Amino acid sequence: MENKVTPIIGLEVHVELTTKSKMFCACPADHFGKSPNSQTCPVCLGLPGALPVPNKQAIEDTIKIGLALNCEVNENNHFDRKQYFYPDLPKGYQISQYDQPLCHDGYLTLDSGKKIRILRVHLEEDTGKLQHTTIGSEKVSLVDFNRSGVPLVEIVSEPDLSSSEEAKEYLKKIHAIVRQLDVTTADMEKGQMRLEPTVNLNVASHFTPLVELKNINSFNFAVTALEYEIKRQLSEWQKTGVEKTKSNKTTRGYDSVKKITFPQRLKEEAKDYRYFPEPDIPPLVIRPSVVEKIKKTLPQLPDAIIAQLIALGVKMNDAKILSKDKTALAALRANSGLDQAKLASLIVNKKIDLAADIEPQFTRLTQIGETDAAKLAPLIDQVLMENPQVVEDYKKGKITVLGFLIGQVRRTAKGADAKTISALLVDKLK
Amino acid sequence: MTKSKITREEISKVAKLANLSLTDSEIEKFTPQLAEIFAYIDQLGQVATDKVVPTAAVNNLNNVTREDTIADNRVLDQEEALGQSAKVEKNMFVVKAVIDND
Amino acid sequence: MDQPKTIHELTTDLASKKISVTEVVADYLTKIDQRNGELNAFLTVAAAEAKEKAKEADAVIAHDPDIFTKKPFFGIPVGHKDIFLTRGLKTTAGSKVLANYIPQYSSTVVKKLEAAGAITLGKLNCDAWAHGASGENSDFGPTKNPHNLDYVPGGSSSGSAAAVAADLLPFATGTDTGGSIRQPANFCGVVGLKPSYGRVSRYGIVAMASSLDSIGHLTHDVYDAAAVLEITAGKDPYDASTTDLPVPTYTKLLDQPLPKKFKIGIAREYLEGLTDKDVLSSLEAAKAILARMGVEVIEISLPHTKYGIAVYYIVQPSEVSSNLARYDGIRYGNARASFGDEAKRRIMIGTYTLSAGYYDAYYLKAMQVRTLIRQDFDQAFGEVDALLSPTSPTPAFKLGQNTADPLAMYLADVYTVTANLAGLPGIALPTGKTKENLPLGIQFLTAQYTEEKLLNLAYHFEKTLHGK
Repeated sequence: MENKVTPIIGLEVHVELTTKSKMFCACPADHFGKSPNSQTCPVCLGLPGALPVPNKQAIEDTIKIGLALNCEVNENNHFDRKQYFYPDLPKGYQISQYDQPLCHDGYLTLDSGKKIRILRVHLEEDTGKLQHTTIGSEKVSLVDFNRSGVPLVEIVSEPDLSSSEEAKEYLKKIHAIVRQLDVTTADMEKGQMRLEPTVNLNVASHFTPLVELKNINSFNFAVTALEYEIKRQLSEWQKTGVEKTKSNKTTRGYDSVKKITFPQRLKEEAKDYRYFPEPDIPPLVIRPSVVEKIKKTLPQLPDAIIAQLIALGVKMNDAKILSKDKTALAALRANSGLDQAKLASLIVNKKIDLAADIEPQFTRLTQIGETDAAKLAPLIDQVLMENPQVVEDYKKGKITVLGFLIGQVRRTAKGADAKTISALLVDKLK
Repeated sequence: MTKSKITREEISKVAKLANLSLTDSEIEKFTPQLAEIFAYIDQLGQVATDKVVPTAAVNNLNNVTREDTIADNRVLDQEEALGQSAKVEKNMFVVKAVIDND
Repeated sequence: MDQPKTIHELTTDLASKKISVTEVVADYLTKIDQRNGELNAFLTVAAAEAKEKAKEADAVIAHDPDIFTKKPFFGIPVGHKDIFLTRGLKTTAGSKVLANYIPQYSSTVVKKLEAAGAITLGKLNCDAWAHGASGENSDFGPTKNPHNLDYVPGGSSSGSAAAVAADLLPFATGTDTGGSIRQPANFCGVVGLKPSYGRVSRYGIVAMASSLDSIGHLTHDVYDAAAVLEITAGKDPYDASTTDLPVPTYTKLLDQPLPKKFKIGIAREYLEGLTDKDVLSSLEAAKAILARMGVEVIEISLPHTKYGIAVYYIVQPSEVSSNLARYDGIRYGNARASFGDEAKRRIMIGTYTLSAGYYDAYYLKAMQVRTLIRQDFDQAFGEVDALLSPTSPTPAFKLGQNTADPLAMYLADVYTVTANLAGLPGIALPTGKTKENLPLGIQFLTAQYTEEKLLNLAYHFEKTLHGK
């Protein structure tokens, strides 16, 4: 029974861009930890008469993400209004993209070689933030609009993922890519990257109802939430046999303490966002020449870096770590004359101080280590054997010859510590 | 394209979507008025529009953007941002508790 | 009643020190005091602030007589339709939702006029949210027509038209989404200019329908209409829909002779169903004036005219329903229950036309027919330089006459809405009066962004009309 069950997982990832200013106004976009409602203006506070003007950098950043995910860039695209009422949405609509996203039809390749199709990458604005509390005996929500209008990129995959592990790998790769592009710091704890998996099961060609999972703020939670949900759906299917329909998609939250998903209260009626083209913003026309220009600015992406490092003999694990660490990678590449596999390993294991000159450190570490008695012993034996007269002198009490012997050892054991050699010599000459 | 027959139920549903709480007498009043207006605008069904490109804007512009710079002079003082609201707590706007994700 | 003074006449008097700014401001404030009770044109009068500014202005004139060349509207009073945000000065949009709203910022147009030296005397009544063609939809009571208090002044820029017509102001700002400047100008016998869509910034003006809203003004004559546009027009970095085409010096181009073989078209579709004898005779009078000017008038066709109102009453409420969504009473203003009937009706219509299952049949269809209407005009302007039409199918009507029948009220926009759908500039000009002392007038339209041509024509028309 179990072996016929295949999870079908799609992922919606939201990434807050780390631009200087907000998406449609010139307020600072960096809202984390700021005093509530101290970074708003008529536009992002939704005052009467205020109008949006799009941030050029955010548009370019979104195209970069699209290109990094092998997407097509829509030459003709525009913003739309997505309309719904919620206290954190100051205009009663979110400026987003509907039928013409900036980028579409891309893919991301997992390490197994499996391609996960990317449906679309579009640009929108973030909402304000809600806090829940009580004043007196009244339950209330408090709204802070500092986050309102921060540029947000939505990356939507096709439901091509078939396990929680694949989902995790996909998410980690997305995370590494957007960080490598330098368009966001994608700090999960600050909510700069948010995950919404949609999952159901294929049980011997019967499909269980779709479930969208919310409140997942780490990759590991995504794994545990999906695993729980996959088990839950299977047992639900075995009990009820209810199949997916057009209208029975539900939303469930994730409780990271109990490690379970739970139903979220249903809204009273189906949503109807009444999308229509945003009349305040003229359409965007992204010419192929512009796309080419942006393409040229793309940095090497994590998968390409890994492939290149592996070709140089670097271990897979080291390559993966280095692909996410720009400083370390730069240090490795700046010392291409040194053994890349060894240097990579030393850098990953933090044996090398990247702030200091790397070559002498490398030499010292890769040749004889300071306390590496096992490696020094045969060298010392060799030196003693080659210099019988000196050994004789020492044994007669001429202790000063020790310096000569140390020097001889160090001629071959470059970088080895004199004190260690001395101690080993004294020991041998007893 | 025939919505000239608008029902009270539809009016109620649309009102909900529009975040308007209409009274019974308002629904009573609006139902025939909207029906008449829809009957009038339904005449557009007579116009052949196959392959006609829709006009969303009439200023012939595209790619109007701004550089990514902060304009501090446009940022409202916190007191100013909050000052027109009936209810403020801890520098935040107070609303009735909403159904949220948790 | 003295002949109202135009902006340019006031400037001449101020610059020659015949009068002071303090006297000018005090004079208007007295008139407002006397007549606003019956007209209800002003919702807010900023008397103290205006007097203070007048005093400061006089001090500036005393040591800088050149100020009038640096600031073309120095010391000139202005009133703003109450949907123009004025920082620190209550702005209601004619609605109880914003009954106590004190804006945190000023609209671009208000700032530009202030920078040119204009002094804000107050805020002018209008149909709530600019929804209406009579002024009767204001939540703060209807404005009356100064020519006959039993009649409406037109709308939605009702207070603006009434105040200028009653000489309570030398000029006033207005907005025109489907005729809201031209129609009240026509009902009140003043000049009403609706610039092209995108010519004047919409930033800081309560949005009605974003793809249609056009920001203009009401003045005593065409010269002033040109002078105001010279200040308000131009690219605004805060409004992405403004054009970056350069702004001509309109006032300098006014008295250029009209180009040879200047041709004006009258759409035969505009004449079908036009029965009002006064309006017909006003149109004939206009044709006679044009003949005296040596302008040829020919009949042309705008075949999709009859769909104009239907397209407008889909596009406009759709955008209205969206633009009014921000008024939730959380950050400012009162709760949504405070919306009046007309706003609620339009929100309902627009929510419906955008909702799932109806978008294609209504909104998309309307956008397509909008294309056809635009193409009609493109074709027409290939044949003629300008179009002549009535501004409204009737002169001003009596208060209360159309309030029970929204559709009948909507249909009165037939001559004005298509200019908004196509983004064209239009001007309403007075031509005379009916036996009941109600103003009559006509409308000219030209191609988008050709305000200089429109004003040039209007200027010569006005001159010929007055036998100059």
